[in-house]
Amino acid sequence: MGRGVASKTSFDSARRARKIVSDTHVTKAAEQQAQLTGKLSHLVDPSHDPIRRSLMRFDPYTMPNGEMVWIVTIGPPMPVESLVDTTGSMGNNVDLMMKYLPDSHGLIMMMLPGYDLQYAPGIFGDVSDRFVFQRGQFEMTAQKLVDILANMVPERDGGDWTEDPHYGIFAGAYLTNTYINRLGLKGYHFTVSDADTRTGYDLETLRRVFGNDVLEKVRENADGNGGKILTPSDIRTLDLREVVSDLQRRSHAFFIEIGYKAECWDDYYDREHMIQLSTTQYLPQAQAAIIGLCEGTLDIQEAKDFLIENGMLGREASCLAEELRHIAIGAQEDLRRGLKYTLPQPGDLFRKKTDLLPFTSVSDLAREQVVNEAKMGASADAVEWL
Amino acid sequence: MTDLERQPRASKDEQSKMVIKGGIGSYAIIKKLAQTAAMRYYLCQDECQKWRIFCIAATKADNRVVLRAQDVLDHLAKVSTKLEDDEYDNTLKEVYADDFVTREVWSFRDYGDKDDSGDIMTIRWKLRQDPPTLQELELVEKMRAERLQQRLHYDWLFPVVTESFCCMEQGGRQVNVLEIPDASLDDMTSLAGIPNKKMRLDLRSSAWIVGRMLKLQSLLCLAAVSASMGMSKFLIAPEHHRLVMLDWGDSAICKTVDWESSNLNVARAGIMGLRLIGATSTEDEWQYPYALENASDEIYIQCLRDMAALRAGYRGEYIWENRSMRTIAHFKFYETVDCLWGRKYHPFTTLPM
Repeated sequence: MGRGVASKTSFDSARRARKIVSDTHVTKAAEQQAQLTGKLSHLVDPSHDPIRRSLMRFDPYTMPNGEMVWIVTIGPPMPVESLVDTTGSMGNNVDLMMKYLPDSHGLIMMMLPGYDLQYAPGIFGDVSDRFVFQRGQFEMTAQKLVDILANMVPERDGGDWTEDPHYGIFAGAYLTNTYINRLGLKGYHFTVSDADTRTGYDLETLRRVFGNDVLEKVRENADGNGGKILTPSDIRTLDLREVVSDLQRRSHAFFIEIGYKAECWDDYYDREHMIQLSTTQYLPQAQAAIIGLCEGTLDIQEAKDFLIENGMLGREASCLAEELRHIAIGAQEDLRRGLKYTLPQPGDLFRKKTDLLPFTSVSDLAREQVVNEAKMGASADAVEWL
Repeated sequence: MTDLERQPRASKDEQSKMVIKGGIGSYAIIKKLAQTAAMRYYLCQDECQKWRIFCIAATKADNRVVLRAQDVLDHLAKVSTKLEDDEYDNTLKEVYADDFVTREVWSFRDYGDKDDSGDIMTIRWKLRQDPPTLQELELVEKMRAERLQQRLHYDWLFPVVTESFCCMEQGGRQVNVLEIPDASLDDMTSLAGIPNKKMRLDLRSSAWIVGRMLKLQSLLCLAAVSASMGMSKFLIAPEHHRLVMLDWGDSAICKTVDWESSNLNVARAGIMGLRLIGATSTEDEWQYPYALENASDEIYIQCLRDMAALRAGYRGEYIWENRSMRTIAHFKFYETVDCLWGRKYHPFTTLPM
């Protein structure tokens, strides 16, 4: 499965490979294609294999006794999903996401040492749009992330004032399967908007967005995952409050309000999970700071300096740092402290990819050989100096 | 002749008359330095009187070993160049960012009421009232230039293959001509020579050697190269703080990182560190029989013991930290060393056993 990770250089190469030379109209080709075919690319179509999975990455490994097992390549996967409004004034958000992707990815990686960052970008619009919601897979490499963003089709239309991010939140709650949840930790989920939201669901729209078998997929995802099974009558009464609550069981889920203060969101996200931000330009810094504070890799005293060092203007950084004081600081740290086992690390060996924990590690296997070598006084000495 | 250390430059009379012509240059063979099962190492001079190491296969059947070593060294050179370029790009972005000059000048200033909040608007306002002096601006430029000159220098850890050819006059055996960049072979000695001459290092001198070994292992992980480290494979130039792994005869470029090799090398680095400081191995543990300057030095020795036994989380697998990748052991080792001594210059110090 690999060990590719993203870097600034690889993002530059990925953009060049897709002939993206400008910071605007990065989705032009995808929009034209959608115009012709009326369909989304499978890379961003939520109805294409609707369950998004964040899994440990392995390579095959042969034990000294010949047994074939799996070796962890990078570390425990940490899913970070970011859903962004692309209606009206937020219509150029995909361009901004593409432009700031290397910074965003790099800053978040700094806050997640030892983890395998798996990032899933998504966009949403209005129920009156052709494509209400678009969602990428959890990806690790620059090429895949650039491909996902380049294949999005932001409709940019204003529609009415109220938007429909709640389908993205539904996906986060019921159509996401992550290894990190099995360990007892949570991933990260961000919804970014400048408008109010509708709060009810209807089956017809759910099927339009996620495919006709959406409820079967919800059930499939719930099996063995501690999730909820939904019936058509459940959908009729399903409310955003319940969905956000279910999402919060899986993820540290935050709502980021851009500019305008939309009062209705206070009913669904508590103060610890709401952030006001002046512009999406600073989304990378805001998301990285939130993750760092939850993980314990960033101290609240350092938050403002961190924001300024990473490109925010002083006044904006002060405002955001003040907002960050209210969030659930150390939430993931608390969960980690409560774990009964150590998180898997690179080099750990799993008998099956579906196992929860490793049975040994390469360093444990090497230990005996090393101790024997040391006792014999050998140190792979091979050169005889004359 | 036991090692390269302090060998006088060979006079014209002393120079061997054997001159071997390669594809690019010709090499006057001076003397044999070392050998392995598959390769022989000779000191030589090229036509420009530059000292080089002439590495030739022991037999024709060993040609593949020499060729493989050449592939590995070329691959490491490419990877280290790329890492250097990426790091330079990142540094360039930092030192030419908006407000770099403003912030640096601010850090020099010593106001009684200096606001440490770092708010750039406040800093800019203050500096408008009290603009930077020419001296301060020159200092910032100097800092900028110094930062841009900083290098990762992974390329200092292995030799460069300047030429590789099949030497027909030597029975069709393959030759790699090696150069140690930015170092004089006159100043270099085999690392194994230290314990062989019944000498040991002080703890801090051993720390930079072990640190370099771990840095090399991090590079091997990045480049997916498998190679085994050993005391006799390294050359050391103490005055220039250079440690170079000379012999790559058993190395290979792999499809993925060889974790077993990485872990073994981490442990070997710990074992070599312990041997270099004069520790001796008993049934269960390594003993350090000398008096410690400070009680806290025991922490360093325990760190080497843990590394040698791959205990306490010392592992050869890697993690990403900020924008660089290091093995977990590399990261942990420097946590200990930085706590104990920081990263200050320390003269290379040998002591009797």
